[in-house]
Amino acid sequence: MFLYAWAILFLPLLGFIGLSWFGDRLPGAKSGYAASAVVGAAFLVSFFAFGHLLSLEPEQRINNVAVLYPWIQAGSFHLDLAILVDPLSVFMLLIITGVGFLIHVYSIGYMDGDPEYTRFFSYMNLFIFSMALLVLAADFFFLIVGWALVGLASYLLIGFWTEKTSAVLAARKAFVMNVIGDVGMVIAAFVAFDAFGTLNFVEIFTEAPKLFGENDETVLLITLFLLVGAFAKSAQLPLHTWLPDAMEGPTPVSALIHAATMVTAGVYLVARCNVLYDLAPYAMYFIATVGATTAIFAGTIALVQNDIKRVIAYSTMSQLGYMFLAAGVGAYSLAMFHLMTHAFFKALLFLSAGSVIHGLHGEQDIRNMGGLKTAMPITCGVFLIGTLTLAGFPLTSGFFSKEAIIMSAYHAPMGNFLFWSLAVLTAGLTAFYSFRIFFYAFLGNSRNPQVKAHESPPIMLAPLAVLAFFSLVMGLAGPAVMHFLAPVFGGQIPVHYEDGLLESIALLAGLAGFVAVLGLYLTDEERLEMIKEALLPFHEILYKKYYVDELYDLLIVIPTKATGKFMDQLTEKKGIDFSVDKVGAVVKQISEEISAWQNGRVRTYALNMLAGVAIILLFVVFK
Amino acid sequence: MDMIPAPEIDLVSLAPVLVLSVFAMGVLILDLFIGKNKTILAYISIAGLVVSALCSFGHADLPVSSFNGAYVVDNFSIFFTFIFAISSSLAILLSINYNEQEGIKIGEYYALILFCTVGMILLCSSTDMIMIFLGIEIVSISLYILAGIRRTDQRSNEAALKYFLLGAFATGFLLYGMAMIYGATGTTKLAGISSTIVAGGVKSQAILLGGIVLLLIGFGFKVAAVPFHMWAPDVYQGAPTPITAFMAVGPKAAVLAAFYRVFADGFHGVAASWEMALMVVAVLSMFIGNLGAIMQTNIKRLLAYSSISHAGYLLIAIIARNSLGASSLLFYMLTYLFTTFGVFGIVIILGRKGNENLEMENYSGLGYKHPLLALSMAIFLLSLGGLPPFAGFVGKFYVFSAALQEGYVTLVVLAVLNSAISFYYYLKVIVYMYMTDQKVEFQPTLSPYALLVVAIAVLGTIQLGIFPGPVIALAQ
Repeated sequence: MFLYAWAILFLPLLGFIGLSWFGDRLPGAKSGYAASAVVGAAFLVSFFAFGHLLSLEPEQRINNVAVLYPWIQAGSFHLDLAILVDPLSVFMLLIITGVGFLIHVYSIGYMDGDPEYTRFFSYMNLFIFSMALLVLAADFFFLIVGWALVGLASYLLIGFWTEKTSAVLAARKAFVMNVIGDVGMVIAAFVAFDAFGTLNFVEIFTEAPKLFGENDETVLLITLFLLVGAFAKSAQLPLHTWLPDAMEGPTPVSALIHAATMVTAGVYLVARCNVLYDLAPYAMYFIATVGATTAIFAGTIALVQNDIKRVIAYSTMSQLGYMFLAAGVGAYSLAMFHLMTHAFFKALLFLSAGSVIHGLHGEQDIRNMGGLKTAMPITCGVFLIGTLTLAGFPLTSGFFSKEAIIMSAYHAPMGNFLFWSLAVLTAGLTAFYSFRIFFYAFLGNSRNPQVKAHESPPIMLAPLAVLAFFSLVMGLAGPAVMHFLAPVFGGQIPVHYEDGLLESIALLAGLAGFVAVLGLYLTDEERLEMIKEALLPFHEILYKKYYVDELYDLLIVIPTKATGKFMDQLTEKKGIDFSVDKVGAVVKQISEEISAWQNGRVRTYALNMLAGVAIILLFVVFK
Repeated sequence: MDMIPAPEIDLVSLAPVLVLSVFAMGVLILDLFIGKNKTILAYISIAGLVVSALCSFGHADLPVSSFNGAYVVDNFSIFFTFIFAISSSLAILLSINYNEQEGIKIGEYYALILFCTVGMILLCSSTDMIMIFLGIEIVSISLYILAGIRRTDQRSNEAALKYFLLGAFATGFLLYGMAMIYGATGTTKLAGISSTIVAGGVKSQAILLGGIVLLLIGFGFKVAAVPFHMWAPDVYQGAPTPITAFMAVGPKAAVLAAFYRVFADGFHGVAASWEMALMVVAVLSMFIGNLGAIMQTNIKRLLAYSSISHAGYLLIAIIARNSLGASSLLFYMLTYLFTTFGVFGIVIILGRKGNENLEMENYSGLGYKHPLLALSMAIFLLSLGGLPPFAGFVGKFYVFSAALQEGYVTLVVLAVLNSAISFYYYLKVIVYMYMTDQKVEFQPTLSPYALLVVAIAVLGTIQLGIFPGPVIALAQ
């Protein structure tokens, strides 16, 4: 009965194929409008599906599988072209297509004048399609297909400016990291198939509690291998290094990757497999630990980065850490709620940062900015809203979702003091670094007077206004979101923990971060230098991102290259090439003999047949 | 004196054959009254094929055996009837422009294709050796003439003569084998032969086995299996190209159907004796076919060798002789139909009057000049090689699974190895198309009929490759 939901997949796919083949024939900016239109239409269909779900009884909202076509049938195994329409997938789709649509519209202005305008939009549609496929998949097979396609689309978009070496390298890095995750996913799917005999989500999730007890090895194996994929896609430790580099792509791409699509996939995966994770408390504990660690890890790095997009990128990692923390303590719908509020304010931050970069003709270093509030008042306003929301200023949407997670980190059955304190510390750091870029970029005087900043065109500002509005108010939707999602998570609605003391501490942490950065901002240059001098070793470590990239180089890249070189010279050239050439020569000779045998004379042919007859007769009858 | 009882006549079972025969004769008569343009005959022939295929649904409850157990209508035969109807129709579509271009203005051409199809339908429905012999002869005689229909062309004549001489030779073995089996079991009906063998009522085991071997040789010749394959490259090259495509698919499918019925159903009881021989034939066909193709430069000869290797793969389905084997044979044949007609369709399109452009070098640079034609060609070749997601992969997959189910691991390993070898020469064509500079001026004959064939073939190849489900279900 949800067959129409296939349109959500087909619309962006059609956009991708259409723009790839015929896009060049569209005049001017038409391809941007066409690409936005298909995503907008997909959003409308998603919204319709949302209404449709609401019209059903809560228990009827889950396990709605719309089969388009029974694809493969072999014995008891069957694989259908099927999508799963339930509150979780529709919730994700609303974010993906809704925020995705706004980013598309924004890109019409942002990418204006790019020679590869059409190619950009066809990739963007591919991205939306892949992500929609990922969340709509009704089994592990199509989940992995969507998963890999998301990786492909991100590769194409991060490296979109192929003439930029750093962009190509970043794209490659993202791809490699994601493929590591894909391998984990595939292994998880194999183990699941081995255990359940099916890849279908509904079947697996109904069978799992019957077949396996708590922390059973099989379930642990599946859930942990799934996490490899989830952590790679969602940039959690230690598979996070691609995300900050992915900034090399055009800014709308960063917004798309960070807000609406891609990085949310890991959180979605854990939420989708909540039945399995509930059976594996060890894995849950692992998720929460990694999440909390990533949150603070990324938060500290963000303190000292100077590239405006890089700071926001690390804040994404940090916020994703919150989501995993929430999922890890069992508050799946809180994770989804934060995923939603984050989608709005992160898209807002990235797009307004894009507006800044656009207005400054490509400048990204905050040390070269300043005083933009007069030149770009609207951008400044919406950026401030984004900053407040990210920092968790009371009554903004970020406040509601983050505060709830921090409370759960302590009070939820799986929560503890350590998780809570990491979360609170991160909240303080968040306030610090988010206001740091705001102060640097928008207040004071311009540090680079040669560059004349200009405000962005309305087509870029309009999506910003919409996102700013939602960033402010969507926090109020919290209880509604959790009720809507409850059927997917076994009817559970996370308890809202009331604890005045802990709440105050969390708020104070945020305030402390804000005060600290304000203090630094107001200190004069001389003092600042002294502080910098004193903290230099820490600064260096943070600036170099804890040397993770260097560590990977040393441990993995260099040995791999060395092995490759060794193999190339020894096994490849002396072993394989040599033997392949020999085999080839022999095969060629045989082939020539066969051709020679075929001499065109009927008597040879007949004689041959006769010989065959004689041999077979001897062989069969007189053996 | 006992009267020979007259068998009950079942016109419904025979309807496809009767309809087609009437159409064929109609074509022959009409040919006398029309002018030089024979296109109308092609349309009528296709109509006949369609009607005939639809007539095969005459019975509601299957299988129906009639004529004293000599003729059967079951899912197997209906599926094959459709394969024949499609392949003959595609061959006719390919012929329309080709004949005009090559000056083949002979109305009997179409009638012969129809008669040949009649023989093919008889073959796949026969459960009596006499009927099988009749079927094979109807098919063969039509083909002898069709191969040599370009009367003024030396190669065409040579092909026909070679085919006829060797064919007659093979027919001798076939008939002699049938006689020996009759002598050993006292019946020509497959069901009777099977039950006699199982019940141990065989008069002389040696005569039975000798008969089986001779049958194997007769059938082996018709499907161009090694070592009875030597006619194939010469005949494939010399025959008019649409007929080459036709020979590679329709008659081969028909003989395989009979082959399957005789060996898997009839001689099941003594499988241990003939299984090894058939395996050797299959393996040799694969190896000689694929290795022989590697050094070919003429595209029709290359496809001839390729078809020898495909016969090898198909024999594996007979060796497996389980239900999956039967359905995989059907499915493989269907995939082979689309890809083969696709390839030959492209070959015909690229040829023109006076120069058929059959050298592989002439395909250089096609990918840039005619991207869609080259892409289609690449799809067909990759499908022939067995690359997912195209139909050929699924076909091979099912054939090999059938053999694995019965434990023929070595055979499957050799077959997979051969699939890998085959990519060498299939890819060689693709390399020419995409990676070398253009050598000759392309003047493709873009006839709508041939393009239609290519389009159908592309659709079929992709459809069966990605969504094999429903057709597999039918084949089962």
